[in-house]
Amino acid sequence: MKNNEATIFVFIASIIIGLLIAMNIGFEGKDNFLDVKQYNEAYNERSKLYSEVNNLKQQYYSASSKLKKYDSGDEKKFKVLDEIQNEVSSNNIILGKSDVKGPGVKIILEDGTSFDEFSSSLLIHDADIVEMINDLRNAGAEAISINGHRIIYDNYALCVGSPIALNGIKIVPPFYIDAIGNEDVLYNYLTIEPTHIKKLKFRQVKVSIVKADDIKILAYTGDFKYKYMNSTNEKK
Amino acid sequence: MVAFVGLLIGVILGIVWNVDIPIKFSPYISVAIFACLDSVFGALRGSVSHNFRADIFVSGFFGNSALAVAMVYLGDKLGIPIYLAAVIVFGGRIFDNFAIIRRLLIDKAKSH
Repeated sequence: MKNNEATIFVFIASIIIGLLIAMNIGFEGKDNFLDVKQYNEAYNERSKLYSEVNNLKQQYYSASSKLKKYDSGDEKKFKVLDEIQNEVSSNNIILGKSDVKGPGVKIILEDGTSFDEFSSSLLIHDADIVEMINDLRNAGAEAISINGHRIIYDNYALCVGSPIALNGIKIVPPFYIDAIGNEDVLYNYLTIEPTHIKKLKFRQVKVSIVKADDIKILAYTGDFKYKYMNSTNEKK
Repeated sequence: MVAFVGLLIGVILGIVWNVDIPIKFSPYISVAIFACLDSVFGALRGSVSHNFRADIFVSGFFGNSALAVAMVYLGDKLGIPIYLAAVIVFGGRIFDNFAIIRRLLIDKAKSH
């Protein structure tokens, strides 16, 4: 009796196992196995696609929420106006037309002093300022000011004797350069990477870099002028 | 003998029905198969040595596979291959059981 019972149970169990095995082999036969390299590639591909999908989702979400704001509510016009104002103010922040604050680094550059000889390499030149701005932008600085003057998209620096003309405004050393961005990234980039600061230090220019949590950068006070360029999709 | 017949029937049924499990569950099924196989070997050993108990067999059959699947899932989440523990234990027990079955059967054959 006991043996019979065991036989029945074993019979049923082996049918189940056979089913499972057949199910598993069914798709293993389709050659779905990858070696390590292929797996890694596929994995990377997948994560890339995931992040793309996430990005697109975010874009879609923000766009659709904007659209909803336009569409819904009885105070449509006000909402649209608000939205437009928001966009304008964020554009102003990007352009440099409004005061901003945030974490970042403060850099002080001062002409070097040497007792034995005077050399032009001790001085800070216009090109140094340009390179500094370039380095900061490369490190992801979002807003930069030099001696309180906001650096915007069309800034240039020119040597005019002892001072440096920054967009026509004469500034003299010491140069206080403030930059808003990720403070650690900015600091580490400037101190570790072979940036222009290294060259300045080598030239015995006095350089100091400090991280700061709360930097205020004032708005650009000049005008935004353009004469020759026109929008290509202008509506008439 | 019964086990092989059942296995054959099961495989044929599976091929005829052609059920596809999502590839995600492939490792789970594999470990579950191993756990079930272990239970079947245990049952065979029980039937040969005349101490088979249905309740223990059924609970082991489903409990082992569920535990193994849970281990695979946990290992997947934690990033360590815990399922290896299940594979090693079940594999070792299958061989143990097989060795005992072998001995018992050979003894039986000799005594006749």
